[in-house]
Amino acid sequence: MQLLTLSQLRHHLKHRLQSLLAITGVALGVAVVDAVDITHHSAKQYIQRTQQQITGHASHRIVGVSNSLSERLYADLRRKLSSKYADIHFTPILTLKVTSPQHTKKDWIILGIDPISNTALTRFGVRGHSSFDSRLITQHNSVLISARTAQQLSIDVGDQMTLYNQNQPLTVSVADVFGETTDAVNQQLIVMDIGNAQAALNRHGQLSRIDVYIPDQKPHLLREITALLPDNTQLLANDQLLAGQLSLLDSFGFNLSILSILALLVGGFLIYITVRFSMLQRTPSLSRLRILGVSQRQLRYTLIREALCLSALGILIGLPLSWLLSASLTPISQRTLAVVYSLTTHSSVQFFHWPIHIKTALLATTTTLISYYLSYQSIQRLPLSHAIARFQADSEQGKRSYLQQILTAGLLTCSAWLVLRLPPSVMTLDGQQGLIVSYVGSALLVLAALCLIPTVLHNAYRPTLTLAQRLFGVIGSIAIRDSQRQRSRVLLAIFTLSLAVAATNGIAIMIDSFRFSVNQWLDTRLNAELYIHVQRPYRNQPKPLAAVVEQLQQHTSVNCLSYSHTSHTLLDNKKLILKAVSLPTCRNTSLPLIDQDSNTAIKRFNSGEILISEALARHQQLQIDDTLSLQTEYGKQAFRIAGIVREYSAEHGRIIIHRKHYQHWWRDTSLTHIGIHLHTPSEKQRLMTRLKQQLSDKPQLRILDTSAVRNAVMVVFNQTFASTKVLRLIVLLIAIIAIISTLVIYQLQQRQQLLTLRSLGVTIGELRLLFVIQACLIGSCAGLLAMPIGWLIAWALVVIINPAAFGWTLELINDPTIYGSGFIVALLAGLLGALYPCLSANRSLSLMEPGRE
Amino acid sequence: MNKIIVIVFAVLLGITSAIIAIHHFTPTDKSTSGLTVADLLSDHADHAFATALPGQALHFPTDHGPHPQFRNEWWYITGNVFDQQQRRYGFQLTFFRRLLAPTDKPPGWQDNTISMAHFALSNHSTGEFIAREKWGRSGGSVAGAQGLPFKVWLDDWQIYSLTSDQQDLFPLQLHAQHGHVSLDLQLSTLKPMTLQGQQGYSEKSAGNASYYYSYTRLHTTGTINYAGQQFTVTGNSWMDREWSSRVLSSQQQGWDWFALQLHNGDDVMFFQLRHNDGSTSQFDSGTVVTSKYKKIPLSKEQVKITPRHYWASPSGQRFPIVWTMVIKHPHYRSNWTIKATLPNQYLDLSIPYWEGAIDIYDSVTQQLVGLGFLEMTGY
Repeated sequence: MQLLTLSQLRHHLKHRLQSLLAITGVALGVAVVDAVDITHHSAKQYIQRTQQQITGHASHRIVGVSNSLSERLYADLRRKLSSKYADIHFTPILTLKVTSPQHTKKDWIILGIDPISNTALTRFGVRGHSSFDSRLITQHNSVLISARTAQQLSIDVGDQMTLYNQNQPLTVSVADVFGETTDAVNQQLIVMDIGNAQAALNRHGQLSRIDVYIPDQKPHLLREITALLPDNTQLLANDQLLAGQLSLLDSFGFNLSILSILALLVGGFLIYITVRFSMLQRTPSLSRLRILGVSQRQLRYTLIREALCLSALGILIGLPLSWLLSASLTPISQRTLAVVYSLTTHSSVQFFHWPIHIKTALLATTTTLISYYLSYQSIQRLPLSHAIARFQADSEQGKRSYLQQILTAGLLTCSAWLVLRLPPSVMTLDGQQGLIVSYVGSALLVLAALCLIPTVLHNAYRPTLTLAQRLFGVIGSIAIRDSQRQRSRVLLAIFTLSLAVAATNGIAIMIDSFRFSVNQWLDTRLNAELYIHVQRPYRNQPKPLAAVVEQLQQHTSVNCLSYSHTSHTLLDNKKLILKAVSLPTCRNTSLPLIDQDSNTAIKRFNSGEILISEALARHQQLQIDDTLSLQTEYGKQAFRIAGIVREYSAEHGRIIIHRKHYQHWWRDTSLTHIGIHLHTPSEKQRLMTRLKQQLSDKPQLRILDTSAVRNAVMVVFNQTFASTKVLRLIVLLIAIIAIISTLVIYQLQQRQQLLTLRSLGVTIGELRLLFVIQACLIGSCAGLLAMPIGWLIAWALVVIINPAAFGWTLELINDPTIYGSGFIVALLAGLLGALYPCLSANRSLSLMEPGRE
Repeated sequence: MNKIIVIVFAVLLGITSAIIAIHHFTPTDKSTSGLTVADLLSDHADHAFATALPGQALHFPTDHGPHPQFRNEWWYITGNVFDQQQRRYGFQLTFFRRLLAPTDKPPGWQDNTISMAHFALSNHSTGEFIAREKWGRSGGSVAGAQGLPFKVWLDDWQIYSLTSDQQDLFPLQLHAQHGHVSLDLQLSTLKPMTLQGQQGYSEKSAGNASYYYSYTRLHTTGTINYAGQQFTVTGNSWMDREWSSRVLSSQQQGWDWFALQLHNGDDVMFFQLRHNDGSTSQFDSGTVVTSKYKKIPLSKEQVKITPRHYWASPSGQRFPIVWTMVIKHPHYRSNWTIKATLPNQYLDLSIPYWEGAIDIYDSVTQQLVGLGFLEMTGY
């Protein structure tokens, strides 16, 4: 056994570059998979801990329809329930977003708490009443901030900060800090006494919510609390709200995981290529060992040990790389989560989460073992007498049945079709399962396409040979014939590169399709030339707003105005956008309706029926003419659905109601936007300048140019795909390394033949040409194959995965430049792979000084 | 090639060491210590609060209500009641108001005032003792106090006047509940109000005093719900009203307060203020209200109280639960042994202290001569 180990060790020491390539394959796979998981885990941890601090250990919260509650409700609940059920606790909370431009560009959240409430301060690590700092109450502008923020912004206890609440300055003094400087949780939180927060934010007697701690979630307590609530309030379970946030995060993480698995797969190919070559290299010695009496079992154990050592080394290198990668991925993912999902995660990388590392290590070890197993199987099948000869000429492909491959592809396609035909209940169960089913179906389709690659290449052999002969003569012929002889290895390289390029192409097409659909959607949504955004608290002041509207109407260039107000409502504990809209009277408005007559829908909409977004319709399985029960100021009210509109936002959905009906049911006359429709669009700039002058005394009103709004939306859009861009690059990088390794190995393996060619008079330059032709062959084949596979991936993403994940449909756009650039990337990747053999040819293939490798 | 391998492993080693160095340990928990009564009532030299001054007449019924300009104030009712099977219960319902800092803000969550209430009940037949607290912001509907008609409340715990005559305070209604334990009592006075100290001005340390008056004997009837049963009870209660801004000096660490209701109709109040060095204050004093409503002031020299037996709380504080009290006043003499009915009447709340029902025995004859309440703080 020791002899066997020594023989392996000697082999690896002799072929260090090969071993290093195999280890690189493991390390890169480990780094990507681990980094994605760690990034995801860090964000998840952050959200959970943030929520825990913000909600304390409250199991529920009471919220109002109009995002505001009376302080009296809190007193009533305490009076009626807190003595009867001694373990129920109520905590009043007031929250508001503010800014502090001199400290950070990010928004701050003022969290108004009652410091003497039983559960208020425990969430910040301060225990109970006995140690609360009365300064928080008595010094009316004093606040607590996170110790980490204080350190980062160099703010000391006693320092002052100026915050802005809708342009109104609010100077606060830091009374103390909470948490540790190492703790990244709630860095943008400003904790304030609730009484002082009410006064500072001009919300006397109002609360944002009431946190409720109900032990064991006893159903009778929930019923009793609900019975005491007025019509316009709701009791919600915090874990469901948290679960909602986490499921958003999970769907984001799931998308990244798919790319990371792709990276591992490509890494796996790299391991397989090198291990297989290593096996073939060792076949003679292994066969001799067999002849000398070493049993199959002993040989297997030795190879398993080798695989374990190799994966261990790969993991050891991969984990620190993962740390570096997760540190770069975290800010990107944070930005995406903040911009797209409105999830604030200022998480630092929580790298030391061993279950993730163990999972990654197991995944990497399994991949390595599978690579070893497959390689070993291929040489084991050979008779001993053939084994030695085998290394000299890789003709192990034999006569594989191409019919078999076509049948496999057909079978996979049928399976994919069956999986995707699963009933809708399975597709949409909890959002996530449907997504997984979609991914499985799509993966089966892609696999089916990959199965056809050998058949396609086999059929392309003759024409390629003829072409190469014509273009490059004998060298071209040698290159193609040799590639055919080495087709198992060449195939793997083409497989790897085409998969990586196809994934990149597919995602790029999907993003293009998405961009196109979003642009179309924006065209229908942003139909006014200018918008006025009304900020709080001005939006609740009908009289001054009416004066502004009158002023606007007097402008001769203004054709008509449209109005909208955005608020939120809850449906099954999920926060939905409720948009109250009055359409412009001077223009024919087209709504982004799906498969429906616009005139009928608008007529029904005007009569009090609602429009819902596609995502909401899909998640709630709603159709036109169904009714949706919404909590209004008059209690629950059923609204009939007049139409389903296209909508690309990451929330659970959107409900659109006519403004006059919204004002009636929600008793709310607030305005968020005023759309200004002009007679001629060319008057826009002039009017904008005039309006800026006229409204200069009203900082709560912001004039927005439609094109600026559109740009802002596109910024969000681009941010959405920022992290996928990084991972796509990494996948491509691993694929390029796989190509390099294939060609390096090829050169090493074929050294004897190449030296023979050299002795027959073939120059180094001609050999270089040989490498380049082979690299071009790999690159161009991969590039060409990546086109249909890329299209298939894009189709799966657009038609299957996007609707399942987000509930919206997109229009599939095929941009030829994406396919073209994919082909060029593949070709360049191939050529890059040829770089090392070409550069080292002079040294390693010199007849005078043969290399030792 | 060897160089490459060495470099790779050196980089690996470096990165691993860096990660270990960067990795921080989980932050340790900060421990916090509880407040004491002395912390709350000590002189923190904030002269912006109103001060209790001698010679100021108290005005009723206004003074039954809150005095928001003073830092501390309490409405304190304790009593011993019996059910129809003569099973004894001791109870305490106390409302505290504390002004954190003087302010001109109107009543509301910005008026710097917080409320605290304590409810305790001892069941002498089972030996059980429960004590609960509530905290709330004053000035709103959660907690507050008003003089006319009199009412003090925190959530649904409350003491309020049942009379329609706004000049009168009694009868008073008490309500407190904690889960399945609740108290609903009506109190009517059997003796007139007693102004403690000098016409209600009760000096506690040099320059520090409180306004203090008591109703020493209140006839008490009502119901107690306990362990799923309702008991009709009757007995006697004691009500203390006190407000101040500075009471204890920095050298004073706590007090022992006795409220004794004797079977012969006499009532005795005596408090002893203890210093950090173990000595007692020159301002220790008390009052005897005889059955004929005669008020006899007691000075420190006329009363000798001696702890005889101690009980240790779970946190290790030792409270004297057996005392002897000897009064040598020209017009009033006594020699009593005072024993806690249950040793563990320790209110383990945010501000922990011992307060509970006591029995009064004649030290000579060993006969039970009265019942009462004892409060001990600062141990």
